[in-house]
Amino acid sequence: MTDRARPSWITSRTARLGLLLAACAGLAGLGVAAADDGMSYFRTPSELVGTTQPGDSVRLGGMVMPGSVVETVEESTMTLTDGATDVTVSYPGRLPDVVREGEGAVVDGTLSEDGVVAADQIVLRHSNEYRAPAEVTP
Amino acid sequence: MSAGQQKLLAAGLIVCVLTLPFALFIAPADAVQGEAQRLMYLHVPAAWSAFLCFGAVLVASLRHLFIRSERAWAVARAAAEAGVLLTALTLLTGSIWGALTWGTWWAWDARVITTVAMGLVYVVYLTLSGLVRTSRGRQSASVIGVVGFLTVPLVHFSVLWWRTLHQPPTILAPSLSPPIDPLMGVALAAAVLGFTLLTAWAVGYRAVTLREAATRGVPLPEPKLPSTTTGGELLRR
Repeated sequence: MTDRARPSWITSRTARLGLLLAACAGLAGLGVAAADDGMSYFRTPSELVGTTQPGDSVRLGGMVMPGSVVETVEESTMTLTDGATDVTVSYPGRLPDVVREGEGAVVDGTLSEDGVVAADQIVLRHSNEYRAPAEVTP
Repeated sequence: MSAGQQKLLAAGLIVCVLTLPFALFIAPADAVQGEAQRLMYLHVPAAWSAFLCFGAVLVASLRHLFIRSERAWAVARAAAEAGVLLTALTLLTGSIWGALTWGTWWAWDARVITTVAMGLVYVVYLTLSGLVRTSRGRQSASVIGVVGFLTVPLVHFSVLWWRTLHQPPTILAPSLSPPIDPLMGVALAAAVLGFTLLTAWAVGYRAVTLREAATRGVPLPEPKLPSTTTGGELLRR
């Protein structure tokens, strides 16, 4: 047991078998989850229309339409668009800092009777562009 | 450590030290994401180096399958170990970056699912290759080392094949002018080079260590094996 290449806790046969089984179980779990929910992380506004009933929970993604953000302390709203369809999203309180007009956002929420998605979580989906902040000309 | 390995280590360290001022000060912070975007200079090289490691596992496993090279067996294991650690680093830096810019630590989108799956496949490879005692066992593990590489394109293209929270690729995308600030590009390229050199050194160094341990005949991890030479042990050599 003086194998200095590998520490003993990981060279024990039991530990390796345990880790092997855990990794296989993890892979199987990921596979089942992916087959169950699909690999799409969110739905687009166009996909939402007609396929979702009021009361259903949805994860909706799109671009925050410039000029659509209305923030108050009690409730804020914004419009998510995929270019073809617009969906209004409401959020209790002020929007999280990650929401930016013209950038992507993904919301978790519930579709209400009036077609508005009442969001309880909003995350940013940023683009693949990396730019320096615009120079402030004096 | 051989002279070549010493040079590799020195070159890797020098490039990484030279990268630091670029990554931390010279390159601008991103207009949308702010300073958190600097995590790119850890996250991207870690993911890239993990891909390279799994490429090395593929090549070494093929070599072992065809010529039963002891050296290739050690290189494959060493590269898989480094690759799993780098995958963990990729997920860790990605999680911190996500918390700072996305507003969530963890999102089970296709990029994260496939990355976790990739790591698990090589954990399976490593545990199995540590368990096998026969030449046939080693061949089976090497098959996993070969087939497992399929997870690498799966991870890379996950952001194009499925709708993810993670953004599509900036650099390794079919575009002649990647949408990245030139100074950020320099910092990123330097960081990728530094990580690549250090990873190559670490895998080479580790492979020698594993090989030395194997040829000394020291590692009989399970005390149940008789100390006299058995058929299984002969096959293992």
